[in-house]
Amino acid sequence: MSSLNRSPDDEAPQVVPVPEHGYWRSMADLERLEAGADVPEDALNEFAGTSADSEVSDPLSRRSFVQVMGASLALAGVAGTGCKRWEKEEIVPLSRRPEDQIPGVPQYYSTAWDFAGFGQSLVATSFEGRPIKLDGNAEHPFARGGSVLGTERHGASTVWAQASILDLYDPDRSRAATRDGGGSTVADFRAWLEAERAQLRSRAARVRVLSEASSSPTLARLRAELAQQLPGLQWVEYEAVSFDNEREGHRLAFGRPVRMLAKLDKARTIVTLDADLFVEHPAALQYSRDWARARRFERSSLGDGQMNRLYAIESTFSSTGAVADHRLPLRSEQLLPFAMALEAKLGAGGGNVDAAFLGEPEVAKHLDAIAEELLDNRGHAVVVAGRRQPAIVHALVARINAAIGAPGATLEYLAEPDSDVPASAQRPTHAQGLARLVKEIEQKQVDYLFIIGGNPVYDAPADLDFAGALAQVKASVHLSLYQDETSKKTTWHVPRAHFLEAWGDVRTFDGTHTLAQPLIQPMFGGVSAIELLQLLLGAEPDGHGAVKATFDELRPSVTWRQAIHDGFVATPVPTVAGLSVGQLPPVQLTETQRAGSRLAQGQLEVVFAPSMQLWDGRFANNAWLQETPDFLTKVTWDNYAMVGPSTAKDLGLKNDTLIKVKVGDKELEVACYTMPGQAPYSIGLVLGGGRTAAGRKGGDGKAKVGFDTGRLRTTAALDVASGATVTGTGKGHALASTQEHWDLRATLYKDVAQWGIASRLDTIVKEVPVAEARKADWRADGKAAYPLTSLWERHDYPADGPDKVRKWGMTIDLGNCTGCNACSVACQAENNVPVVGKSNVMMNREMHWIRIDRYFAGSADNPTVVHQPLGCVHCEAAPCEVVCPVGATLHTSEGLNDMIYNRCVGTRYCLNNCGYRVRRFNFFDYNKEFKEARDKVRNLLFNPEVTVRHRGVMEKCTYCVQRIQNAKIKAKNERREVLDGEVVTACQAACPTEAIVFGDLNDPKSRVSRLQKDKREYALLNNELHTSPRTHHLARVRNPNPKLVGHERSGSH
Amino acid sequence: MSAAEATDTHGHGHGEAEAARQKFSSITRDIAWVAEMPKPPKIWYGLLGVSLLLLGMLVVAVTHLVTTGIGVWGNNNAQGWAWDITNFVFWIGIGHAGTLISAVLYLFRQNWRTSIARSSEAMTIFAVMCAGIFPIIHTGRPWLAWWMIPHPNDMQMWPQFRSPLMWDVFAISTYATTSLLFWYMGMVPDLATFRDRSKSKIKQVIYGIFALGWRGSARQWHRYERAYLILAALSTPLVVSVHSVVSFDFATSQLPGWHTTIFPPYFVAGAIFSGFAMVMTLLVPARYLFNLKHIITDDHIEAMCKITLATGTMVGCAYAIEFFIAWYSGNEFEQFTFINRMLGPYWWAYFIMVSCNLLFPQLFWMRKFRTNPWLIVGVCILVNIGMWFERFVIIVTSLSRAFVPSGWHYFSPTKWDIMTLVGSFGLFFTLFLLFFRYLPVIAMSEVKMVAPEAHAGKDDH
Repeated sequence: MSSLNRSPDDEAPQVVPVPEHGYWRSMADLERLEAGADVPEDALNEFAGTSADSEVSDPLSRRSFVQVMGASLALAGVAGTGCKRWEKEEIVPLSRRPEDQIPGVPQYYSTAWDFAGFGQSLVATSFEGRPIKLDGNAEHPFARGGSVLGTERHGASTVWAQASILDLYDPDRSRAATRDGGGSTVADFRAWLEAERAQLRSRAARVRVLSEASSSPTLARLRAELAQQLPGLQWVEYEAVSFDNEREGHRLAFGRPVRMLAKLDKARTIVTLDADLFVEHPAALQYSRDWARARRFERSSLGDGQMNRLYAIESTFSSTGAVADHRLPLRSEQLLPFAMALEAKLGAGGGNVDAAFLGEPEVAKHLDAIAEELLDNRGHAVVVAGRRQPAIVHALVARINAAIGAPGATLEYLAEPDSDVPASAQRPTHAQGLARLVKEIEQKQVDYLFIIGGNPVYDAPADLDFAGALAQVKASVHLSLYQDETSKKTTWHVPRAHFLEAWGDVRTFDGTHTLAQPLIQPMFGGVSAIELLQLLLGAEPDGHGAVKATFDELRPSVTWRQAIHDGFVATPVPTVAGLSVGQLPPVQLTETQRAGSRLAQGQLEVVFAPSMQLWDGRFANNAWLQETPDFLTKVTWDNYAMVGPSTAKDLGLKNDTLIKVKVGDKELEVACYTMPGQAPYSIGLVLGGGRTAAGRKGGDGKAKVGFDTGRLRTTAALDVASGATVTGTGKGHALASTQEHWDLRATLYKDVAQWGIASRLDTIVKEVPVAEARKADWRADGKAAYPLTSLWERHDYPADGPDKVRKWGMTIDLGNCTGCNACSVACQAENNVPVVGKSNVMMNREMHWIRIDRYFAGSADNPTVVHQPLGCVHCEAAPCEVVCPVGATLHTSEGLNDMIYNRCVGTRYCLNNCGYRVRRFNFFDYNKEFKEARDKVRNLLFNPEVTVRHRGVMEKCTYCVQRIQNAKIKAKNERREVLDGEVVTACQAACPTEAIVFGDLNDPKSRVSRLQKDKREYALLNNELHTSPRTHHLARVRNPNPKLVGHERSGSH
Repeated sequence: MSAAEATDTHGHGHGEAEAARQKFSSITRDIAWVAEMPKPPKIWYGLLGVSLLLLGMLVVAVTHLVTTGIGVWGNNNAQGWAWDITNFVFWIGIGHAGTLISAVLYLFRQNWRTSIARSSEAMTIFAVMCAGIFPIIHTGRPWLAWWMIPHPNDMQMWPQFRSPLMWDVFAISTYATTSLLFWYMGMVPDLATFRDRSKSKIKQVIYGIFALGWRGSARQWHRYERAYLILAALSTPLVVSVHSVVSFDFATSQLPGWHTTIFPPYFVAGAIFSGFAMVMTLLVPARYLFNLKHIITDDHIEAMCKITLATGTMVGCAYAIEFFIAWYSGNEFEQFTFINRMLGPYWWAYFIMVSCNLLFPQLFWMRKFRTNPWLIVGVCILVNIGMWFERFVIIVTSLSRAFVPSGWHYFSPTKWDIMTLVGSFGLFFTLFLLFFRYLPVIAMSEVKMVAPEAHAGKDDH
């Protein structure tokens, strides 16, 4: 079935040996029982199959006999009783311990993931053969992480990478092939493919492959082979959230597709035009780190003390706009005239731009200030346009960058895979490709359609009737993790192997060849994309062989074994130099582009934004991501339309109601969220909701989660549509926001809450302009209103002497937090944090141990934002501890505020007395669903080092105490002290901007103790409560342009 | 106050021993009649039926809670406590009047208390029973709530004595024990009377067991009087301590709106206030129902109205002082909490509280309102509602606006919250109605003691 089943040759990588004990077997058997008897064993039961290959065939093998006995006993135990006690399991111990496997000691394997056509290099943590955690690969040359000593295995990662491991154990994943909706097997599919092979060959020109974007070199190689074997076969690539505009823009500017990679660490001035650099961009990790390092206020190993300045001009708030020093909200369509005007101001070309909004004082001032600063910073500045902007804007930006001396200095152009082929052979844009495919189908030119990944029935532009076209194809095949909307319409659905279940390779944004090794056998008999192509080629599926063949072709300087160990092959980045911008086509501005910031109904702009959790909807069934609060709206389990406050007032749209958005002849009712800072008369529609076949979490046709905003997208206006009409419907729709649980209720005096926040905000989040911070006597930590003395002697944590202890502490830098949520999901994965569902989120019962509080300041139409990550701060004088009647929360000798789950009776007094509101109570048994036979597979994801909490107990951040203990044990075994940076908390490891630092405060040289002496340091609420928290925050320092400072509105809310 | 009017007798004089005996036996007859009447009034059955229904609801609600989780209530990660602890403090407060009436007024020789002491003590016991449910069921794992009681165990784990919840455990268990003893001990002579008057064998045996062999000898009376005095003296500090300790749950925390030094006296005043209101709510109808108007007289009711007025006004003062202190402290968190209490999303609860607890009791300044039973019951019910809301306001609004705004939340109760609260009234009324029917509702011996006939031949006392 899978390449893993093959006996590994000598060079075989460090594949996790298949566990031979009974636990796996009974799990698999359970799956089989659940799936029904008509599914043959080999479609589901990989584990038994694996051992069968070698041993069951020998009837005299003692071990196989015991295994079979064990399996049947386990089955008897499972099937025979409805007993709700512990399940009876027969464990057959290994008679010989596999090499490198120590029970209870995790192993780390490098692997990789292809996300929307761009690779991410990862390191997986595996316990006894089950991967439970993903982190970035710190050694990877692109987006490297973990510069801190001893943290090499932890690199930064995106929120999606962190959450993708949940998909692996998703009980809703497809477990068997289907044919015309009925049960079938992968074996049947292979038989069908063999039967059709002659047809496929003879009618190769009528075969199409529709693939999601992929960076895999192996897939590209096999694709070329397939094109040879089936001449005339056409390969179409489609992504609903595509970065093609940039590619097209560069084609327009340079005549060939190239990628732009900004070097934000080298740039003093960064201007983004509708671009989200820190979450959405494929190079987000690299960008986040570079930007953060070039932004540190102090000189340290994390930065050079020279602050860069970031301008964001955008329609909907992005992670970049949220951390920008200056943000100018403009409709997305206005960025074309803005870019033209900027170019003209820079003297790079273009004449007077005729657009009314450019005359508005706010816009004009920003334009002048930006142009001046770009010219002053020639060679140290860069302008980046976002994926939503049309090709022409990217071309203009290329010209602007050339004018300010950016290429080679602050940005590089990298080769695309098809950079050097003739224009006719370059791939069309995703939308064009799909449109052509649909047209061909409608013209009856297509008999066979193989769909690799993706979900075009759900996310194809609405003007293409993809579902209708699909029905006209003679035979269609969908390879997919889930039986999704597309799978339901195709002839065949083939279950896909998760990326942790199959061999693969990817290229990161910079082109580095990165290898993906499997961590586990395909649990549900899935087939990888590479294996499907091999099947199409008529070869035996052998992912390992294919990936190795590609590797050998590259003739790298390292051995295969080394490359698998590292996870990548270090190759020089293929930069393209000497590009010059050619003649650009003349630009005709539309009426609304020339208009001011006010528009009439019927002229409104609609901007489609990928969800920062669900992306284009592919993660809809990922409960972690569904429950991750959006970085600004803090809404979970929904998508919505974002409307600026003044626009909402003008159009009479209310928060938490349904509004009707009409674009062209298509209309949609969607929940309204009044979003401060959303550009006036621009409606931001978040993608990714309204799935009908995502699974039980993300919408399965019965339960609806979010709105199918993609129904308003057309090929002509995929990312930005104008001419929209938006009206209120008066119908309510409550959004589950984790932060504004409170502002919806009627008060007698409506500004009470605002007044309350304003009066305390200065003590909670500290933010200053750089000029203020540079003053010698400035310190973030203010003075307490009364002397901070205690009535009794406080516990001492001596740094020296016989009683010397470690004093764990943390700092969180508000200046670098982009609100990307990677820390929160990383914590969820590491600490088995449960998901509670929408209704419980609405009741303020979300369980995240670290949350990111968001505060707006300034005017509602153009606010500034501060993100404040907050977990338990481990107070030395913890208010929670004294009030617990049973002593279930206590201090360790090292000052960790620990929860003793066994002792907790659940009075919740600690929660009431916590000034930070970081304690989380298990109001229900949130893991109950995993007791169902079908969902049991989800239990495999639990981190065995962390207790799974039962109902009725309190929980909260532990500073990843399990990691602290592991580091201490390791150090003790090696007879040394724990090194600074050796303990890395899960949130810290994930953070792309290195905003979280953890370590020993008793070590004067440790990074964290130095940061806690920094002038930016402040201890949240310590002046008020004298709790002496161990977590300190670092004040955010802004670097505003002095010429624009007058525009920074003071006041906050 | 003279108890002469209380017995509402006519033409009697010194030395009329026969008249006195008749008078005493009429007291006994009238009070025992409540238990001895062959059939209680139909309304008693009706009320008991409703109460049992509500009690059943409580059983369902608690069963669902224990088997499913605290999440069936509206409690959340901002409001760890909500209706559960509100109900607890409410019931504990109700339980205050009993001890005050039996112990404090006894020590102060307020003889008018005798007619209401027994039933208010009973009310105390039943209210403490209702209150006692909540600290147990509000825990996430009620089957382990016994860990809050110090007990020897092989892990040598002790409860945490720094926690006010621990103090609560002791305060409430002490209070419950003392109140129960006091109530039961005071009832022994009357139980003996019931035993002697019982016609059915079963009743004789049961009352006989609980009468502890009371024969009414002078020695027994002597011991009884001493013990009663000692228990009264023991109970008196409890009147102050129990609700003070309950208030420590809040006062020793650091939450604005809870962290207040005024809480102990404020809570005690509030408790007595609500306790008296509840006594009147129960007794004013009951004296009609069981024809006890001549024993629980209008004067008694009026005295209680005056106490209600006094304590209600004290509570009102505390409301004002809280605002003053919030302003005077200069602490923005404290100031916001109180402004928010009055003008924020829970303004309606605040105004229910102020109007019911401060404004309506002011009607008792007028004699007309102290004598009209229906108005009294109306005001007393409002006071009970107001006092429930006082606890709700303190607990829920303070928790809804703690230090960090991201933790702010608006609490909404679920149907299970409502069922638990209403169900607890079911328990209370069921017990109270059974008490009225099967136990001496008024301390016969004590009433006789303060009756003028008891002082025949004496010139002074």
